[in-house]
Amino acid sequence: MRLFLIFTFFFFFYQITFSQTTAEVNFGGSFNKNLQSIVNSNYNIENALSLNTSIQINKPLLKEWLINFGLGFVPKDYIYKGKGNYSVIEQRVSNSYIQFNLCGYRKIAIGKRIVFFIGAGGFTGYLIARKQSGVLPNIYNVLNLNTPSNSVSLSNFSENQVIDEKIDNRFEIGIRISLGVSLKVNARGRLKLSANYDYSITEQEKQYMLNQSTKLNRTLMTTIGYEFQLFK
Amino acid sequence: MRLFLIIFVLVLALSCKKEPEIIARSNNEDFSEIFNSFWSKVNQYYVFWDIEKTKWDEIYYTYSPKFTQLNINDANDVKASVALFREISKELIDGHFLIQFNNNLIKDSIINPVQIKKRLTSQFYTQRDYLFADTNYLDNGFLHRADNDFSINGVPLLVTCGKIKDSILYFSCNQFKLKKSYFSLSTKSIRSVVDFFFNNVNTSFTTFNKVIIDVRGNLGGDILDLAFLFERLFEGNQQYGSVQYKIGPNRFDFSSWLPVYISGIRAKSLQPLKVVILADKNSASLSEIAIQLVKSRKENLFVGDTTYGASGATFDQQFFNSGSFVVSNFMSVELSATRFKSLQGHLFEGVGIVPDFNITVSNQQLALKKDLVLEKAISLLK
Repeated sequence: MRLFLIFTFFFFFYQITFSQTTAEVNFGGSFNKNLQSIVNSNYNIENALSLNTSIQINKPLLKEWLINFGLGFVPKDYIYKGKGNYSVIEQRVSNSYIQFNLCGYRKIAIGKRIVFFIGAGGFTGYLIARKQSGVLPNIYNVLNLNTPSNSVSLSNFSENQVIDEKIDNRFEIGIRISLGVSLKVNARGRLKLSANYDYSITEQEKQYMLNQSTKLNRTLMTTIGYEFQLFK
Repeated sequence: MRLFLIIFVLVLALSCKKEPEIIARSNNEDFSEIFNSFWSKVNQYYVFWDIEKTKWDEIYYTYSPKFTQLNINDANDVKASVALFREISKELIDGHFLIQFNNNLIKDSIINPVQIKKRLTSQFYTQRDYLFADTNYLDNGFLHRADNDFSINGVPLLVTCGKIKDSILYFSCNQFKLKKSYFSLSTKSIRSVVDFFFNNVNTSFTTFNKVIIDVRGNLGGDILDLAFLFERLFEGNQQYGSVQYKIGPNRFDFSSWLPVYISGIRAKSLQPLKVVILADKNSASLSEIAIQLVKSRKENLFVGDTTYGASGATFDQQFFNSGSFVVSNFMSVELSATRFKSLQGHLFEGVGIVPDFNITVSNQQLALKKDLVLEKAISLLK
């Protein structure tokens, strides 16, 4: 009897949890904007493009609704770019996150092959790496031209940075708005195009000084993926 | 929809900051605005917060009410503001930190906290006249020029070059404006002295292979002089340290450390030069960079006294988010814009560079034409 009850429990648990569950593997581009409240007038803070990847699990709840959760690698980069005569100055800051997302979606089917999605939810990211790269004038690398003027050389650099637990906010939390369309390509799988907009509500840095500039990420991710059924 | 609005309002509430926003205005009409501009610009453009003891946030809360009470139109209050600025900055370690005032009532007041601290120590000494003693060691025929077009505090650019016992080449300068003077059309140009030095450290055949560079009392100067003077002393590319800039707006938004190199032009086939550099407590800024440059070759030595400890370069925020600034119509503030680290990884701001051979000389000894530091350098090169 006990064995029967256990079997029954797991049978229904499996049915509820995994039935009709699909998985997606996605790749795409992240276009990140870093909002800073204090900006030197000699710089622009430019948006930067980088590559992201994620695995998503979709679980239908009702006929037209599904819940989605996933784990991804999401770089959120931005660039300090000099203006005018100093346009050669460039420093790219690459913050790489492992990001978990949880969203609810409404499905709208057009015919038998095309399904549109619109959804919203949240995400939380964990900063795993930071890198700085770019070109800066190296004022001590002066080249003597044997004329009254000299030439300041430029230095290229690319270096991983130590994440400072006293300053850096490892966790990023925010809201996600998402749009997508999927196209049935065979009996088991669908091609899926998605656009996600991640709106961070947490600062990249902890509050450690007065008059601290904000550093908030706004990330638009467009991805292409393949969705396939995990469990019937 | 209602739930979405609630979440949105919550998000906005979470995003709000409780701390005051301190704004640097372009026009400052009262002491409150002047203080806010000064405080926020130092907050943003200072590069040594990681090694600084001054609690800059506390400075704001302590001194903001005091400045608010001052009246910009009251001469006594204007004079009182100098004392407040002196108090605020007294512990800052940036060796280049300097406040000068544009207001006519306090134009003669200069705030240089590191200099003030150094003056209070028992080891402090003012600029010394080494030349009087050192000519005693130079062979006949040495050259000495003074260029009044490049003066600091009324002291002209002084450059000396000569031979010691026909085997050591000696060069000294009291500031680095060599290239500017060299290429100036003025009759006071130091060109002849520098040419004498260049001709004797010829890059293609050996004349002298022992050189003494004397930067005692040299407060620094133009960074162009590094390559101009020293490229002849090195063969090929030689790293001599690293530099870091401040790029972002917050206190620790630094760039990566960039290695810095001198491109030496001395032929590799020649016997390497051995260089001894002399410096003292008044050797600052580019002089200290020159010491790091000379010391980047392990055969070279530094003799004298621990240096001033002002490692950065000064310029305004053209390149970086750091350096000097003005508070409109009231004051100008000079700050280091860069951080320099030795090959060994030492940041020597506020500390100075410790010599390989710590030798000091008194004014009395110099008056008797005896320079123990130069004597030590000569003995090391024998």
